[in-house]
Amino acid sequence: MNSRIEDPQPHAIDRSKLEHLSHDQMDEITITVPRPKSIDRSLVVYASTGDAIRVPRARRIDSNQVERLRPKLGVLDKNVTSPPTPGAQFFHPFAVTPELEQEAARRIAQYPAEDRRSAVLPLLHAVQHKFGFISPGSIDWVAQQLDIEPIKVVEVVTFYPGFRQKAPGKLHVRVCRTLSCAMGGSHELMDKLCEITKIDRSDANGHKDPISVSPCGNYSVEFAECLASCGTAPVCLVNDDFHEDVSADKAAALLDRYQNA
Amino acid sequence: MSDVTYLSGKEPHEKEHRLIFKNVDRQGWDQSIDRYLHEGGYDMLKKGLAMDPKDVIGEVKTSGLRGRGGAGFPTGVKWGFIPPNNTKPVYLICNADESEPGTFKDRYILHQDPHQLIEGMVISSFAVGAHIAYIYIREEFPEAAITLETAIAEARERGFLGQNIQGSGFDLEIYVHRGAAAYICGEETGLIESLEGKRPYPRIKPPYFPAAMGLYMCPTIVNNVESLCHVVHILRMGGEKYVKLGTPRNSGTRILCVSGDVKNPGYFEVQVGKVTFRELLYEMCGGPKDGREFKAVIPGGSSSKILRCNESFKIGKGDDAKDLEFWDLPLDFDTLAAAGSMAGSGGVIVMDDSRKMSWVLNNITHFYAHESCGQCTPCREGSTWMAKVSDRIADGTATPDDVDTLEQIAYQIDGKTICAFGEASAWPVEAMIDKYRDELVAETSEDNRFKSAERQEQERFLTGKV
Repeated sequence: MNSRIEDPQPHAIDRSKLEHLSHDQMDEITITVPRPKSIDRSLVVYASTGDAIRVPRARRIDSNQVERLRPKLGVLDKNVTSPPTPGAQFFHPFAVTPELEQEAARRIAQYPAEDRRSAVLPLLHAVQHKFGFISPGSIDWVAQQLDIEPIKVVEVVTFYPGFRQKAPGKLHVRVCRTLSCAMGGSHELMDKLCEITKIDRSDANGHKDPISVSPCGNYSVEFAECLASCGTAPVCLVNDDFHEDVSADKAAALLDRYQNA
Repeated sequence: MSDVTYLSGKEPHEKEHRLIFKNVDRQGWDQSIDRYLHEGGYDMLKKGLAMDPKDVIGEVKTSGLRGRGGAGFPTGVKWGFIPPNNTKPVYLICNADESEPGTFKDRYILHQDPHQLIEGMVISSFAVGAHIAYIYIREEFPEAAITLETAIAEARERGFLGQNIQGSGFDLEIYVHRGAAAYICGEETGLIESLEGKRPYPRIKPPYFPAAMGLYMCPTIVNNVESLCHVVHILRMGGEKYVKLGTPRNSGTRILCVSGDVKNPGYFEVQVGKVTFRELLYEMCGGPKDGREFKAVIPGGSSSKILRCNESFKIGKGDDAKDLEFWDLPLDFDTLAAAGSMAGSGGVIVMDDSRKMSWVLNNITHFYAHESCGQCTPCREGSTWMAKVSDRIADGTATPDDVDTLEQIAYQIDGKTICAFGEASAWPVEAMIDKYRDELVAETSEDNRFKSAERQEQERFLTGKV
């Protein structure tokens, strides 16, 4: 039996000092044990025999070996990938353009130089506005612009419902789901929109994957939480345009307005 | 002014008192700086910059202005919390994240009267000594973000922003920062974390009170859009005169946003405490829809406690105590707090007798389950469980003790979380069960006990019978 003992010198209590104390006094005694100055971590002591041996430090593992051990799709990778959707045909793949760099520089300048991480949301908005969604490549680009680790961008992208990681349709409709709009008929509006655009929302997951894209890629729908126009319920956003008082019977007319867009 | 006319159907009710919303849905109004200047815009900025910052804070304190974002904390007092020996830069943040369900007042200011906000922000920044201010605007207002940036550029051009504003020697830059659709960013420390480019996990208070350790660990003042706009009017009227609007301790005007089952939903700017529920819902909103009766009202955004329309309350203490019917309650901070709810953000959601409370409860719990940031356990787990249990009640597969379970979960969240989101998610559930327990229990059945797949599996495990 062997075990690793970090403190090779156990501190025995000097019982002779305690013997003349009454029981009441014994309760109040605190014994302070001096801690050893440093622990020799390479020293292993066998508890049964008291023998001590030195163990050489662990060798560094070859980096190639680590690569082989890692699962093909790690948790992080899963959060970074963008699953393909029929809507992808309407968006250019991510590429750094001069306009994007200009916009990034303008946004970064709004924050103190040492706190440029603040620009992560504005930069992601710029990317999403131009390319439709946040792709793995764009995460790396944002991280590089702000001089932070990509994980700090990933944590932001995966938290906020306002950022999407897959291509929506050419027209992305966000219908308000919250109380006043629900009372005003937003569920009926959503059903009608799905019926017209042949979208199957059965797989939609409110948290992780709220967006459903039509097979043709022209449309996508999503339930959003409170769009802050409860007095004109039900309301929805089509791309960046806000529409109020959109009852289910106005759904077809709403989409028709974008026919030539 | 008598020459102010409004778009047809948008005329103010005679009981309204328009300060902030004077230009909203106004005939011939636009967001341009010329239009704003034509009406005496930015005059108060000049007046404010000529004053001593301490006097500006003094005026706001005298006015008794209470924050319009939800908590109702006195704005002047909040400004006074900046440490006197501070050497770090001070930041002012305008909270334009308006995300409390039922609230839609800031939308109109941001879209239609951006210069009013900018003027209020310059005066407020001057008072607290901030040289950089941010407008944290919700992502769902893409158009307003553009409107604001245009307005800021216009104001800069005319010398109302930038270096040496109007020759006063005071410098200020305002930047627009768009959020990304997260309700928790309305919480001020969550907002600050978000502005720092992180997940908006609220900070624990103490020690992280924004006025001392806010944005970039510097003193930071976070105010709601409506509160900042009120500063302009306080300066115009003077604190002494402003405090006469409304009722004692509840001064000024506030915008009530009415939505749900009323004939004419919309916004109404009234003197705080001068309008009762009866006047608001019957006179100003035209009463219930035809053939319906009012059942319940959520008075201040979805996180405030629901009130029954047939309740009565004991308001006041000692000799001043009086019994008031729900309909006679004035909508001010103190009365609604005494009635066990809150004035919150002014979002009044009305439900008539066609609404099942289980359905309403289910909608609200799903909102909070979706929006919980996940930082601390009672809220992250609790809000999700509340949504699951309310699912069962809403679709009729619950047992009577599910209602008790739900209540228990709510009280396990309340008061045990880092930020006020815990209360925001628990209060509606607590109140709903408190006031509509019979209705909720009536939708459950003892027969459901062994019907669900999980229950059957549990039974098989416990008894060994298949």
